Amino acid sequence: MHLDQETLSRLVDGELPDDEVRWAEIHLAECTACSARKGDLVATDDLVSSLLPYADDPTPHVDPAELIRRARPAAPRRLQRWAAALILTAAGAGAAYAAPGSPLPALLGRGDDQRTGTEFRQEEPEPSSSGLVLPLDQPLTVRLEGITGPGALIVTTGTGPGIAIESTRAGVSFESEAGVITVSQQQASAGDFRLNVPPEASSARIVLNGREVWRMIGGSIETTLPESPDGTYREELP
Amino acid sequence: MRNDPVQARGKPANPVQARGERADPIQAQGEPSSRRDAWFRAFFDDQFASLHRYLARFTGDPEVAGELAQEAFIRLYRRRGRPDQPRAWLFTVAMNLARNAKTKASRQRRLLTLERSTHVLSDPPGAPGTTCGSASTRVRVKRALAALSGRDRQLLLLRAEGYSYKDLAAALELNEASVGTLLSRAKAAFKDAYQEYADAP
Repeated sequence: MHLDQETLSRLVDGELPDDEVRWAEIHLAECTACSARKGDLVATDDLVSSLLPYADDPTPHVDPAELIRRARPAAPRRLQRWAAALILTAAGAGAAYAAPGSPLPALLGRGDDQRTGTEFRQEEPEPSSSGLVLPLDQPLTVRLEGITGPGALIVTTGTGPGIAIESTRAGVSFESEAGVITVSQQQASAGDFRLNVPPEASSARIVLNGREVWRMIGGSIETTLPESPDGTYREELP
Repeated sequence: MRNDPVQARGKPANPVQARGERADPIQAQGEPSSRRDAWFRAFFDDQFASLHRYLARFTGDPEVAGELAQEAFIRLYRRRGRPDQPRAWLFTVAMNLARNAKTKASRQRRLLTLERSTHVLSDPPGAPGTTCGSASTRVRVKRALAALSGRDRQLLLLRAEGYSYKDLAAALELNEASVGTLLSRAKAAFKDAYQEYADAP
C-alpha cells in the first residue's frame, strides 16, 4: 500500500498531521519506490525555493503615511462644496434649517456619513440643541466668533467617534473651511457651548472671540480655561 | 536520498494565519482612527514586501507590482472594519486588481511584451564579479514562471509567501484534499520549464 502523491506532498511540506507522519515514515523505511518519489519531491521543492529569488527586484520604498493620505477623502473640502454656511436653528419645536444645497437634510437623523465620518445631529425634544461631530484624524480649529453670554463654554475630553460641538442656543451657525469650523450667533441668545475632544484626536484648537483659549496636540492640553475637579474646562462667556 | 527528519521540513516561515490574525480585538467600524492608523502602519511594515514580491513574480513586472500593492493597501485602509484575515483579504484584492489590469491593458501589453522579451534577452550580466550564469538564471526563472498556467503560478507563488494548504484551497477555490497534488505538479511544471530554457538561445 504505497503513499499517494497528496500524502507525500503533505509530508514534504509539513502539512501532514503528526500521527499520519509516523505511519508514512514507517512505510518509507521499508519502501524504496516511495522513498525515491519522496526524494524527487524534496529535490524539486529545494530547486524551486532556491530559484524563485532570482526573479526578484528590490522592494520599492513606500511610506504608509502617503498611502493613508491617498486613502482619505478630504472631508473639509467636501463640506465647502455645498455651502459656506450651514445654519442650524433650534426653534421651539426642535426643527432644524439648512442652507439650500447643503448635505444636512439628507444627513439629519442618520448616524453618520459613511465616507467622511462627519455627523450632523439634531437632538429632540428638549432642550433643543444643534451640533456637529467632526473626524478625529484631521487637525481642527474651532473659532467661536462674536459669542456672548449668558452661558458657558464647556470643554471635555471624553471618548467619542469624533470631535463634537454642541449648543443649546437658538440661532447658531456653523461655517466650515479647510480644518476650521467657525461658530457664530445670528442673534443674541442664551445657552452653553459644549465641545468634546476625544484624546485620540489628531489636534484641536479652540479660539474664543479671537483669543486661543484651549489647545490639544498629541494628547497634551494647554489652556487658559479654568479646570474643574472632574476634568472639564469651563468658562462663562463674556 | 535525503536523511533529514520530516519535522525539519516544517511549515514555511510566514504562515498566513499566524500573521493575519492579531490579538487585538478591535475590528468594529467605530475604531478610533489613531489606533487604526497604528495598526495599518504595523501591518504595512509587516506585509508590503511580501505582497510586492508575490505580485512582481506573478506579473513579471516590478513596477506594475508596486502600483498594485499600493492600491491594495489603500483599499484595505478605506475598508470600514478590519477583515477577519487581513493578509488573505489583501492578497485577494491584489490578485483581483492584477486580473482587471491585465484585461484592460491586454492589447497594450501584447506590444509591450514584444519589447520586453527583447529587453529580457539582452539583460546585462550585472555587477562585475557576477558570472553570466546568474543573469541567465534570472531570465530563465522569469520565463519559467511566465510559462506556467495562471493557477499553477498562483499556487507556487502563494506557497512561497507562506500560505498553508488550507489557505491555498480557500484563496484559489480548490478542494483542500487535492492541494498537495496540484502544488507538486505546479512545482514540477516550473522545474521542467526552467530546465527546458537551458538550451534556449
